[in-house]
Amino acid sequence: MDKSRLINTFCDLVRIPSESPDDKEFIAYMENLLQKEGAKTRLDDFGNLVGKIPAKNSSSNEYVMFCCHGDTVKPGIGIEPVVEEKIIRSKGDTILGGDDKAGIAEIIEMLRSAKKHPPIEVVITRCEEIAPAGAEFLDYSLIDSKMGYVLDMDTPSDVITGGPTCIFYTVKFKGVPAHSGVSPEKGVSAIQAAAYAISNLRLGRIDHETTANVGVIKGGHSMNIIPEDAELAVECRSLNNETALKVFDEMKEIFNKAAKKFGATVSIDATTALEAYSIPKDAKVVQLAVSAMKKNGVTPDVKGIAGGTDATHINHNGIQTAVLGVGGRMMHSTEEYVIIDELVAITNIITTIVEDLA
Amino acid sequence: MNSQRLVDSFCEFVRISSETPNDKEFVSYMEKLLVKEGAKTVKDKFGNLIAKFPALNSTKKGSIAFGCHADTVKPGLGIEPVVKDGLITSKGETILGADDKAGIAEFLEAFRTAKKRPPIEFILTRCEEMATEGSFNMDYSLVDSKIGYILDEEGIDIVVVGAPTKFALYVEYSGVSAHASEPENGVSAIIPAAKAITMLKLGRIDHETTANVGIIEGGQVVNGIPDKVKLVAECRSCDHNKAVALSKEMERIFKLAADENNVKVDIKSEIKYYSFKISETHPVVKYAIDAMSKNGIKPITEVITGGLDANNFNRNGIVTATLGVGCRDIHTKEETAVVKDMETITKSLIDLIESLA
Repeated sequence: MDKSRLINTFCDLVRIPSESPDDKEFIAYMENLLQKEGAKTRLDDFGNLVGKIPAKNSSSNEYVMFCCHGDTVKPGIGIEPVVEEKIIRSKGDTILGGDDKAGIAEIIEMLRSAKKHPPIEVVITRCEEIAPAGAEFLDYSLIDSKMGYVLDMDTPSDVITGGPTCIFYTVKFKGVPAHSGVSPEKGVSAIQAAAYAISNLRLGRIDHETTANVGVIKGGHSMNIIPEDAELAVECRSLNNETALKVFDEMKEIFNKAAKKFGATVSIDATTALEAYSIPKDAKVVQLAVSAMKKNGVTPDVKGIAGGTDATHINHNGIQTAVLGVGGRMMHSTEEYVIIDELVAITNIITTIVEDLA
Repeated sequence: MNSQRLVDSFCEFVRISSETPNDKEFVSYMEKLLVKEGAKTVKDKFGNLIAKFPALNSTKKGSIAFGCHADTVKPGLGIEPVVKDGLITSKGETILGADDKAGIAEFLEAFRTAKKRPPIEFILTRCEEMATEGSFNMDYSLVDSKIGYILDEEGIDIVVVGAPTKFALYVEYSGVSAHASEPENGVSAIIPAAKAITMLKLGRIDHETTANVGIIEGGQVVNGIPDKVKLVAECRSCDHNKAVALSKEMERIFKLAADENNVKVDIKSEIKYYSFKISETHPVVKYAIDAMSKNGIKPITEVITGGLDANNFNRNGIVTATLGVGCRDIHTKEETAVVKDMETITKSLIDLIESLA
């Protein structure tokens, strides 16, 4: 493990902008870099990168996958990393891009410093930060691994073994416009129907693993017109798939009832849905991570989370995949930074994992 | 009356764009034109134009106001009028602008034709389409008239004798943003907004009173608890006191919803215009009815539910009725002016001006 090489790799990576969906240049850079590390590379139709690295000092022919996403949120153009004693941050006018390039740098350093490893597949997905996510469209026929790790959480102790069912949907109420002062009798207010529905929804925390939210509302365009349109962006999520579906049904019924009450119509379109997954705690992919952490003095924190990651899609495609940390904090903000000791710790943990698999 | 000159003036006016609030160029154009017609002109601070014409063949001292507005709604750039079969329309990509340039053309033609007249103040207001902002902010010390007429309705037979008080309410709820999967860390601003709207009485409240929530906007992403929601509401009543009471009640409910849901709320309540009611026996109404009847129009006096420049004129001591200009489908690309109606209105205006001399 070469700490300064790890830091340099990381800084090189974040200097290449890859705001989603404009991450193709970065993917091309990564393809070149992986080839130099001995990988055979392929891009799938969506532009996701798969690099295959042969085993080293190992007769194992069982692939293990390491996956990160190549894109960043905004503002991510012209990132200039500032390396301080303990952390690396941006100059302040951009994000840092540690999400998820810290993970990529750690994988590269692992490939360079592991004394032995089984065949490895490195997958760099596109557009994780926006829909449609690259992992959703990854060509899984290109991948041989049966297990793997996504590096996309915060701390070295994170071992994520489950993710929620997320149902994102839009609700469009349509009423009848009318001049509000002249002939309100002729109008049907879409805003009123939407407001009535929202007032009747269960929102926020529903149970220990379930939440619901109306994130966006937009309706009407003029003070003196009874609003014809009101549009909502709504989600519900649960670590329990059945609960999520039940809450979604309940919400739909409330929207329909509200429309009916006011004489409006409503259309509901589920835009994105992730289905919950859960890996058993005694699965090999979890046990290997737990053991590697302990060997490196880190106390593992094995848990499910309420956010969706690439791992949701990957697990549903038959590759048992846990999510590990990358050593970053304050992601998605210009205050984002990575902790150098954690970059080192995670590199050591994944190095231990591949050496144990060799 | 010269019908061709009337139509030509009208077409010339609508070709000069004056989308609210970018109507200053058109006001300047009109100022030059009115000066050529013999007016002394003055603009107030807001840019409203007042053109004073002396009496003609008359010893009347008291002046009469005639008012139109200079601005149009959108889309009003590059208007090309098409005159066909006695109708004037736009080419289809814009409004026509008969609202209110037909009124300007009719006044001008009537003024040019009338053989006698009292002193006249022609008032061209700005930004009428922005809730009568121009006449709301006008410097009425520049106006001498005690009675007046505004030309700004569609039909030829209407005489508006009353209009409501209107309040606009701008409400902003502020909660705390958080990721939707961590609701304990956030407070939604959409929830109190929705609860308030649900508690409000909206639509028709009584025969002269209405309320509406016209715009709502809040939140940015589906997976974020929204920390800001803005909404715009209004209420109006032809009874000023009812409008005041209703606006206060709406404010109370907006606050109540904020308190019950632990968010902050900022409410701005603005009176947009004040109600007025002119007696149907008032001379300003009688003169108009007589002139219209002479030209075969059956006048209808009406209390309307919208705001007009006349609300502000009446509030500032000018007893003002509002008359039609002879167009239809205003505020749409199908807006149409009817040449025959424009002629009839011009003729009644000539009779009106001469009868006041």
